[in-house]
Amino acid sequence: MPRYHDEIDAVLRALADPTRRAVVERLALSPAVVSELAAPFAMALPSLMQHLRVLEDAGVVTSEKHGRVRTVSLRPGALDVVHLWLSQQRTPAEHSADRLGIHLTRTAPKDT
Amino acid sequence: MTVERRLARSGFTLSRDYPAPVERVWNAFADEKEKLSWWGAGEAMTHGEWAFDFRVGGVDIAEGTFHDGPVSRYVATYTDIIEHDRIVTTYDMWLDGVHMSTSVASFEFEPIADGTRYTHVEHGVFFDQYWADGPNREKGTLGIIEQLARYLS
Repeated sequence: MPRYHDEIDAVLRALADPTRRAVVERLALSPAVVSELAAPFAMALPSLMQHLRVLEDAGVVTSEKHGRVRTVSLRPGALDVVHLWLSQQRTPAEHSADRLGIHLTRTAPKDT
Repeated sequence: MTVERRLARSGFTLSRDYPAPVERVWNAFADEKEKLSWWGAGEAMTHGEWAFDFRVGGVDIAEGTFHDGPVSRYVATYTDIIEHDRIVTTYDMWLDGVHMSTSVASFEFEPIADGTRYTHVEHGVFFDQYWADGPNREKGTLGIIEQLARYLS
């Protein structure tokens, strides 16, 4: 249990910053090299590197160095723990209404 | 261990729009086979006793075990049924034999432009140890995390 919560803490802390969220949004499209990631932000490269380190320490992104170029990628499944946590914070009535919706979709007549 | 006696009162309104005609949403409640396929906590739940008697005065029972967590027992009485319009029940919940709550629940079905507006309103009183389900819930959450980990690996 503590491990799971530590993981959520790290991921949510990493996502609490607008610059880091913008990086995540960009990386959701494709991996990118650091200079490319830095371009839209009015900040010094070391500051951006610091943000990337927080994201990497939280397991949200991974990076690889090829020669002098560092490529950063969003780690697939990294945000599942948040997704899972959010889905747990629902009342029985919400779960029930979700399941009713799924049931109605699953049993919908083909021609509608 | 003595039990601290206390009551917590709680109510909520939940509204959802479903892209299905009122008749279909209604049948999800009125038809036993349909209701069995969605009512309750889903696949994570092992089903126990079940009774379905959809008429005013009829009693529904749904018992289930969440992973190796507590046994939950739901017993409801239909107090009002107006076809395609509303269902009202009073119901009680037990957790491992401990009385958790007594509630009044109404389910309303309203036709809207592209389907049905479903409105679930409840008022309940929760008894004494209702908060004691905390640790078990944590266990249930852990079970799901482990399942997910297995599924992803």
